[in-house]
Formats: sequence, structure tokens, C-alpha cells
Amino acid sequence: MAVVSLKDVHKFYPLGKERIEAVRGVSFDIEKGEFAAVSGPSGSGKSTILNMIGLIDLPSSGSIVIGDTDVYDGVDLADAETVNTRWSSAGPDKKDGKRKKVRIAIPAKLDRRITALRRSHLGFIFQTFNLIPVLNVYENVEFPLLLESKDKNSKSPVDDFSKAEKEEWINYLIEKVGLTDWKNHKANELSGGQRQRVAIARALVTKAPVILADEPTANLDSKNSEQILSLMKSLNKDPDLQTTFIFSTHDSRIVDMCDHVVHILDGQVINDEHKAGSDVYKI
Amino acid sequence: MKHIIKLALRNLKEHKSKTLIIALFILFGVAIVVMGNSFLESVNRGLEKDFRANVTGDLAISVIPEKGTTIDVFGVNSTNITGEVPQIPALTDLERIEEIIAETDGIKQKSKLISAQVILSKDAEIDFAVLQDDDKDIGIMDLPISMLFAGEDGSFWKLFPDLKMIEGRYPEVGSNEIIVDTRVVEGFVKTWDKTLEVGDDVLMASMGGVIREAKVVGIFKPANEYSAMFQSVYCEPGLARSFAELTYANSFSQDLPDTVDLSISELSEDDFFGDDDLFGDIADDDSILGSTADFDSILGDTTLRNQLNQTDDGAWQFVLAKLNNPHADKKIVAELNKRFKEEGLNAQAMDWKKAAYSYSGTVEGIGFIFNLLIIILAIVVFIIIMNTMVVSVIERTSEIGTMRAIGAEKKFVKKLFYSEAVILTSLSALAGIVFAFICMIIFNSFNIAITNSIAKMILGGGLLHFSPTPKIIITTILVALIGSIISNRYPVKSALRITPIKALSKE
Repeated sequence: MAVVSLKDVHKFYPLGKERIEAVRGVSFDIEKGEFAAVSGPSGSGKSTILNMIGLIDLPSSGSIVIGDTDVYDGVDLADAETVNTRWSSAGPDKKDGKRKKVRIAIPAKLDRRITALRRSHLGFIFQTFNLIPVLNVYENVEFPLLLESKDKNSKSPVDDFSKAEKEEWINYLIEKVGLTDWKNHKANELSGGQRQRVAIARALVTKAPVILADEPTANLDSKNSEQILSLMKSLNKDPDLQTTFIFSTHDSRIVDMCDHVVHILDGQVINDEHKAGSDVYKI
Repeated sequence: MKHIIKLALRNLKEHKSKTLIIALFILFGVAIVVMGNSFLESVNRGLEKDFRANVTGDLAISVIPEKGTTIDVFGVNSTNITGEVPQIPALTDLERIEEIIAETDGIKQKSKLISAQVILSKDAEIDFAVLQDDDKDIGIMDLPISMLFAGEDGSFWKLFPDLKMIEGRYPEVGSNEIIVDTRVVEGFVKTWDKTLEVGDDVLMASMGGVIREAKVVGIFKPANEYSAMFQSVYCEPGLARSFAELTYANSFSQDLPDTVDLSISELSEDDFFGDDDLFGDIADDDSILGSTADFDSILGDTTLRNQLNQTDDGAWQFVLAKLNNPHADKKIVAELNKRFKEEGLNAQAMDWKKAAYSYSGTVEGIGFIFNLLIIILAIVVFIIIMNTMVVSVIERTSEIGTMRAIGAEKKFVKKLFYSEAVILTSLSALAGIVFAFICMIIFNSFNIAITNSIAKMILGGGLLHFSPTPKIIITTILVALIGSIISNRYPVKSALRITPIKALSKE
């Protein structure tokens, strides 16, 4: 069963008066429980693809299905990307030296829908960790649970937990990432590896079925990278969680650990490979 | 909402320098506004207490002023620059006005009033040059120029019982006796180098050229020793009517009897003096120059003119009243004005503020200018706050983008920023109020008196005092909150434009 499905996805970026096609008709499925990677050299479009899967960047055309939701069904993506909210001198529609209006924020209704889906279906692990600096470890992990909204797409299984159950669940995740002794420390009091562990726990807290990790080891040393990847693998194998991981990476050691690798070059899928992934991040 | 407030508090703590800058702006701004308005409130209260108790009562009734003029108990204020000093006309339909007052509920006492301005001297000729004498350094409040008030026999002193007679007695009915303010006595010495005591005869002169003799029979102290009001002299109505020009001619001018020949007023100057021959042969006309009997009768019968120039014993400029409930003045004023209008009477009722507009208007004007300056200052402060917040949003792009990426809706970000603004403004405003109260308590404990006579008049009294009210405090907090929310609108809008992708690319 596919938890993420991309069909003929394109992405254009404005570059001066030109439009650069960063992603050219990409299609692939990621199945539940996979430890998957979108891999390719720098500038191949892998991060763009991961951002589109994570619903933090809009495709220019094509279809993206998360769980059983066709995210952009009924949405005029060309309009969503370019229709007007303020004047700008830049943008794809700038013609004849005249200023054109370009959208700098996506339509409110669509924004609400994808925000809700991000909360309930997707967890994020960023290469720069992106913790909330004023919150401690426990509060950072707890944070996504505080973002409960009225949108039905935003519903997470954890939202039905009692307060005590939520506390237990957060503490369980903190223990799982090995930070029990650090749970009252703020982000700036932690090492890079510890921060990434917090990010992992935060990504898991809503029991999102898919975790996206963009170059998760880019800012970590080898030892920390090994620990983080091992942790992710164990979480992936955990029968209670069955979390799907999708990486954007050019780190061959991560690719070796994955059981599904989508190879990208110049914005196109050159190989959609299913294989047996190793359990070890080779230092 | 609890977690948003917690996060907002943490952010305020985290960004200490920005928080402190904004907090200090709000703190001092609020303190200035609270102190300024508390001072103006004190001035207003002082004036209100003083005027209600001693001059205007709770309400006053006068004729309706002509267009471009206003009437208060201190005179006619005109916007026309004619150089004339118009006198306050007498009330017409006085009998009906008094009937209406009697029919109106809530009026406790009433009396009638005449007011005029006079200068006092002991010399046969008043030497006004002394007023320009730089060596004497005479301020306007030092001059023996006074408001001359005369009230209805008996009822007037009952209406204003707080007058403190320190020497002598009240004027006798129908006499030319006066009682004077202690400040008049001081001004008299300063201006004319002569003492003024009970039993002295003085000359009183008006700007209109009326001069009368009077005897000082009493000296009183104003009920409020810090009063902003001009020094005053009280006398009997008959004497006051001369200075107020309340003659039969003026009384009748609005309703002349048919027996008066008005045809002469329709003639022009040329009709009188245009003929060159009018006086041409007089010098040679022995029959004219040689006959004194003819010369005396040149103006014909002047009996009517003489009668018309006599003061009208029934003329009054104001009816003053005190109410059972002084706070009901606006309601009763409206009720009276409605009755006057319905019956077509040339009369207007006014509250104490309007009846003493020469003073209350000055204080209102100062209040307006003060608050205008505060508004300009507030706009500058809020622009600074807005800029600081925009910088804060730019610095927090990554944090905002991360929140949005992990599922925070735009309204969460909006609530977070507005919560920060409201918390910071509320706490700073409270600190500002505490600071203002400490300053005001210190100032009030010193009982600082204003000595400059002009400042005393402008600021409505001689005591620098602050009277904060809940209304001032609540209004200031609300204005600070609204201003803070408005100045956060643009930064919040900028924050809402931050997309997760923008935040991540910023790293």
C-alpha cells in the first residue's frame, strides 16, 4: 500500500526572464514501512522532490497523493503558484519590462489543507535540526501535539490520548532517542546529534506514517550519523510504529541502508530501485 | 491558548533587548499620558468645584448669543475682530423662564446674576499709563481689574455660601456699596501704590466709559485660595446694571413699543450731514446764536431718551441654578433647552463648563494640544515598535517556517505574535501606570504651588496636582493595546508570508 505517490510531477523555478524546470515529470510510489531514499548529485532536484512530498513546496503540475488524499485534486496549480496578491518585480510572468503581480503565498484554503496534512501525515527531520529555541527537549517534542486544529485532515491518533497518555508517549519517545536525562534542556544546550534526536522524536510524536529527512547527517560527525541512522532504522523496524522514512541524500551509506532508492538526475527518475537495505551505517 | 501564552512569554524573555526597548517606550509613553491627563483632570475638577460652588452654579441660563459669539458669565466672546467689547444682553421673557425653572424637576435653588468688568481707583482720573510701567512689573492678575458680580437680593448669597468675609459686611440693598476680593486689595496697592480698606470710597470704571463712585464695605477671600478665577467685586444689582449697560434702551431694543419713532434710524449719514448749507449760515444768523432758549431745545424733547438711558431695574443677564443632583446637569440643561425652543424663547441653558467657557475652554484647549502631541508621539513610538517587530520577524523566519512546516496554521503564528504584543504592552503599560502613580504621589505630597499669574489662569489654579481616574487609566491601556496591535499588523503580515520552504532555505 503506497503512503506516498507522485504522478508526472513537474516543478518550474523562475530564473530572471527564464523558467528552469527543476523536476521533469517524476512518478514513483513509496510503500508503507519502507526505508526509502531519493538520491542524486547536488542540483539533481532531490531536495525539491522531498519538499514537494513534504507539502512545503508546490508542484507546478502533476499529482501527489499522501495516504489516501490526492493533495492537489481540484486545485489549479498554475493559479496557486502565480496568482496575485502583491506587486513584485520578479516572477515568471514578468513580461515586456512591466511589473506583474505574483502570488507570494498560496491560497488560504489550500494552505489550511496542506498544513493539516503536514501535521497528521508527515514528520520532518531537517539537516539544520530546526528546533524551537525557547523550548526545552520535552516541549519541542510536545509542540506538534499543541497544534491541533479543527481541520479533519489535521487529526492525529495521539490527539485522542488523555493528558497522562500524551505525557507517557512523549517520555517514551524521548527515552527511545536516548535523551531522558536531557529533557529539561533547551536546544542550545544540546550537541548536534542530540538536537537531531529531538527532531526525530518530534517527527514521530503525532504518529505520522511518513517521516521525511533532508540530508539528516549533513551537519553531524560520523559517529553521530551512525547513531542517528541506527535509531531511525530501529524505529522503522519497530512493529508498533511501522514508520516510513524517506530521505533526500547523496550519502551512499544512507542509500545502502535503504530498501527503496529513487535515483534522480537532472530532475528525472533514472532508476526506481527496490533492494534489501543493510541495518548498519558504515563509518 | 495556554501554550501560546507560554511560548509568547518565552520569546519575550529570549529576545531581551528588543523586549526592553519596546517596554521602555510603552512604559514612559503610558506614564506621560497618565500623568498629563491626571493633571488636566485635576485642573478640570478644580475648576468645576470652584465654578459650581462660587460662580456659575450647576447651570446657567442666558439669552441665545448672536452668530459668531458665545456668552459665559465673564462676558461675550466674539470671533469678529471689530474692537468692540459687546455686553451681555439681558434675558427677555424672564418671567416665563422662571416659570419653566419652577416646573422643572431636580432644581434645588436659583438666583439671578449680572456681570461686568471694572477697574478700581481712588483718583478722579484713572491713569492707565501706570499699567504700562515696566518698573512696576504688574501682571494681568495683579491689576485691580475685576469681575463685577451682582446677584438677586438674598438668594444669591444662599446660592454661593462659601464666600469667606474676612472684614466688613455685605452691601446693603439699593446702595452703591461693594465688597472686594483680597486679591483686588493686593492689586490695588501694587498698581496705584495706595491701600484699599473697608470704608474707602473708590471710583469704578468700565471699558465702555461708565464711571461710578462706590464704597468698600467688606473684604472677602475666594472660597478656593488657589482659584484660577479672576479677582472679583460684588455689589448691588443697581450699580452693576450701569456697568453692564442694562438700560431700558437696551432692554427695549429687542421689543420696542410702537410709540417710538424709528424713522430716523432709516436715514443715512448724508441725509444728516450731506447738505453743505446745513451749518453754512449759522455763524451769521443772529437769530440762532442769540437765542439760548432755541439752543437748549435743538434736540427737541429728550425725556424719552433720558428714560431709556436709565438702568432697567428688572434686567438680569443670567439665571443660575443649583441642582439636587449636580451630575444630572446635562440632562436638565437639555430638558430646559427643549422647553425654551418649544416656546420660542430667546434663552439657552448651559452647564457650568459652558457657563465658564473662558476658563474651561482654555483648559480644554490645553488638553487638546497635549493629547494631539501625545498622538504624534504615539505614532512615532508605534512606528519604532513596528520596525523592531519587523526585524524580530526577519530574525525568527526559521522558527516561524519550522512551526508552519510541522503543522502550525497561519492563525497560530498570528495568535503567537499578537499574544507577544498584548502581553508586552499590558505589562509595560502596568509598569508605566505604577511609575506614573509613584511620580504623582511624590508631586502631590509636595503641594507645589504655581506662582506665575498667567500660568495660574491657564492651568486653572495655583496648585500642581494630579488626579488620576479609572477612566484615564483604562483609556490609556486600551489606546496602548490598540496601538500595539496596529503596529504589529505589518510585522504579523510579514510573518504570515513566511513559507516553510523560505524558512528552510534561510538556514
